[in-house]
Amino acid sequence: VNLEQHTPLGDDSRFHTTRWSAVLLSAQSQAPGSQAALADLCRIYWYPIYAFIRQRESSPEDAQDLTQGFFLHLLEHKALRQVSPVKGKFRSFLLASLQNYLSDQADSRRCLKRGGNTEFLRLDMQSAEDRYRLAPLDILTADKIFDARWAVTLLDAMRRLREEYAAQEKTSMFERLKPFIDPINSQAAFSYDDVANTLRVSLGSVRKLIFRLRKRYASILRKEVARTVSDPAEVDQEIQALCEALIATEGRLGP
Amino acid sequence: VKSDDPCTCLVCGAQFPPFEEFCPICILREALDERVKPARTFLKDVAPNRRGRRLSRRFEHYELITDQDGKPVELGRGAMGVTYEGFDVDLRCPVTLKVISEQCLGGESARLRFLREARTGGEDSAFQCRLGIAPGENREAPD
Repeated sequence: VNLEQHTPLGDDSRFHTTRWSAVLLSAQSQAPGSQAALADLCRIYWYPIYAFIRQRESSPEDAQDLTQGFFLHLLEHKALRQVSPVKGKFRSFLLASLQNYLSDQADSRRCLKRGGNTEFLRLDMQSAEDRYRLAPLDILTADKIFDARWAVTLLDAMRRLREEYAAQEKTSMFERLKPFIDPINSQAAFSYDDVANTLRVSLGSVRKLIFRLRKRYASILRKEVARTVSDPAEVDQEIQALCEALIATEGRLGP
Repeated sequence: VKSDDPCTCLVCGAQFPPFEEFCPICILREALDERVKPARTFLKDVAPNRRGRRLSRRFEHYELITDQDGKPVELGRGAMGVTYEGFDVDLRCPVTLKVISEQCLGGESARLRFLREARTGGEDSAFQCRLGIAPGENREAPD
């Protein structure tokens, strides 16, 4: 399995908003595109996994090998078949699988034999190391840090929102409206009047555009969270849990 | 103030990393179902015009708010000392930190007067509480 062979909008696009447990089930039955869809989910959340491993490993190279090895192991058809029908959160599933994997690897150190030299995920290791070094989170448990990093990864939904505007050739509009997603904390100090003048629309239109942007971003985020839980009823609970994890870090999470 | 000091969200009061453009907690909460979304109390309503300000020096669970240049935000000045804008990180509410001037240190009568003024100031304050901080003895909450 090589992630680079699959594009998110190719044959696998039907899985793009499917809950992770359904994706996993499809992958177990080797449905076309399903394994790549699962790999795509893993690719989105690779940094929390890397950072978790890196906390245990003194060497970035070992952490990289273990990260590659873990995803390779997880997505092997043999390993997938051994997973019983699952419920719950993708986050919890990945963390539990990772802890089992690391436990298995701790004694035998077989990660090199299991594909440690194979580049499975294209990881930006320098960037990952820079991010990792900037996180003085000594007072928190590894699980809490993992959850907080997971939450930050979710916010990458902003990239999808930008892509949507770009697809409609409205990138400049997006950049003007973006600060209003959180106007209180944003450093950009545009007023509605500024935006109305720049976009050459009325104030009422600006308000509508901002309202739509916020709603759309919230909707993308909610869908992304929904993908990582097995029951739609768990979405709000998951969001609350991720907020709690972020609050616990007191803003000391690296980029 | 170091550039990697956390920022304080002026909406929810949570701290968030300085590299984040927005408060990640508020952003995530926006994705909650309307029925469970918490009511928002904007800190900016009780302490307006604080956009982009950061927390810096901490006195127990109170932090001094500084402006973009790293300077404490001064609210007032008198014979006994200076009042600054602060934040209670436990209660997540804005507070006024009153710092006694050095020349008033040492005398019990000056200390009591300082505390009396801090208490009086708290009665008509727009903030949720006011606190006096004297160097060397930390803070004392009003009655």
